[in-house]
Amino acid sequence: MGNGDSHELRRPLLKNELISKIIAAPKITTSGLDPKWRRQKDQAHWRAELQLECAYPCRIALRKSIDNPLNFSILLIYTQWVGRDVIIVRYNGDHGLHINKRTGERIRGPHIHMITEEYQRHGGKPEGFATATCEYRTFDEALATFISDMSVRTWKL
Amino acid sequence: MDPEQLISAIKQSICAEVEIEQIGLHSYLIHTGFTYHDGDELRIVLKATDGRLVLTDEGHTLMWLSYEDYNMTETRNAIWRKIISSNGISLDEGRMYVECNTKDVGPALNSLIQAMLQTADLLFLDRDRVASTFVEDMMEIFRASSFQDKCEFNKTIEDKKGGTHTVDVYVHGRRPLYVFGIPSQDKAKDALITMMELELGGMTGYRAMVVIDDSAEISKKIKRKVVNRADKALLGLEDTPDDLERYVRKEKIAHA
Repeated sequence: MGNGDSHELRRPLLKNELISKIIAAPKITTSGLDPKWRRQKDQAHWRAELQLECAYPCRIALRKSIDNPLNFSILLIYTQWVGRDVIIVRYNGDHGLHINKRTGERIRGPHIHMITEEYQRHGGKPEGFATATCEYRTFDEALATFISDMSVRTWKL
Repeated sequence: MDPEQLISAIKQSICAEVEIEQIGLHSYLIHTGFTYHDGDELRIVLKATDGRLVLTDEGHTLMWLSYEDYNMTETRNAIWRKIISSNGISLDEGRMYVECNTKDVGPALNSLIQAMLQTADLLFLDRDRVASTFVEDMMEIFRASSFQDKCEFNKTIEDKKGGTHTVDVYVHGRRPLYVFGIPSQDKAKDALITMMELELGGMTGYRAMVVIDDSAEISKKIKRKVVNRADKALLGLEDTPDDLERYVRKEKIAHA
């Protein structure tokens, strides 16, 4: 995956300290937690986004497989600057195995990806590190966990 | 064939270290050890119904690509279609799949793995590369046109004040046609500057055409300026061959 490595290495490093601050920062979703799902032509998944108000510009992206409801992803995406989006965390459902490439650790079932300095330094995907979780199994459970972990509150006028 | 017999037959065909996990009455998750760039294993499901086997990614690969700021541009889509066809894969609304029987499930699996890995690599077909491919694709249309012998590519033009400028395609004629391929914001700005410089350089007896990748991220302001400055603008490459022929014929560009 040589191309991939060089591609990722061109990106400026996001320090662990900043990553922790982004995760901990209070976030408010003004549109509530009722995503407007849409399906793109020739795609077998649903997608939606929730905009957030936060000291660090970020948003939530949601994906759900049409074929398998347990295969989903909930992402916190930080916009470092316009045109430069960084995935901070990704809550995955059970799509199969995940392998942490730095250690060879194999994870089965739902897992949470997180960007780390180490994975950014060594190429590949910055959020290539993941940990197993028993906190959720379904999409709704994962969203509730994500909302709690990422300090997201809803606020409607 | 019961599940155990099926798994045994499949393993015999694959001849490799794969693990087969039954996840449904007639469906199995195939663990190959191959991963996407983030360490997630390729999602490959084997569905066995009525003696028919289908290996499918259930559309997971395109979902994986969608995590990033990824647009299936015209160029990426063309490359993806080539990946699909060269590996003998079929498509069903974003799902990559291949039909097989117990004897040829091994080669079928390898084809699907290759197609999935190559598709995942599209993520790294970065903007510069996509940009250059768009211009190349546009040039191909001119090379295949009825006035191909009147075309020059990457031609440097000298204006009346000694300045030099490069156009992607130059079509000879009484009033030559200068063509700019625009697959990105940067190229849009370059084309705009070149068209302005040509005017300042005293060049008048030509027509300027811009061919814009309609899936490219170009600000409305820049796009408007480019379109208004050019004599003719075409959006995307899909209709370009016909539109181009019609325009060149109507304006008698290459036939003068």
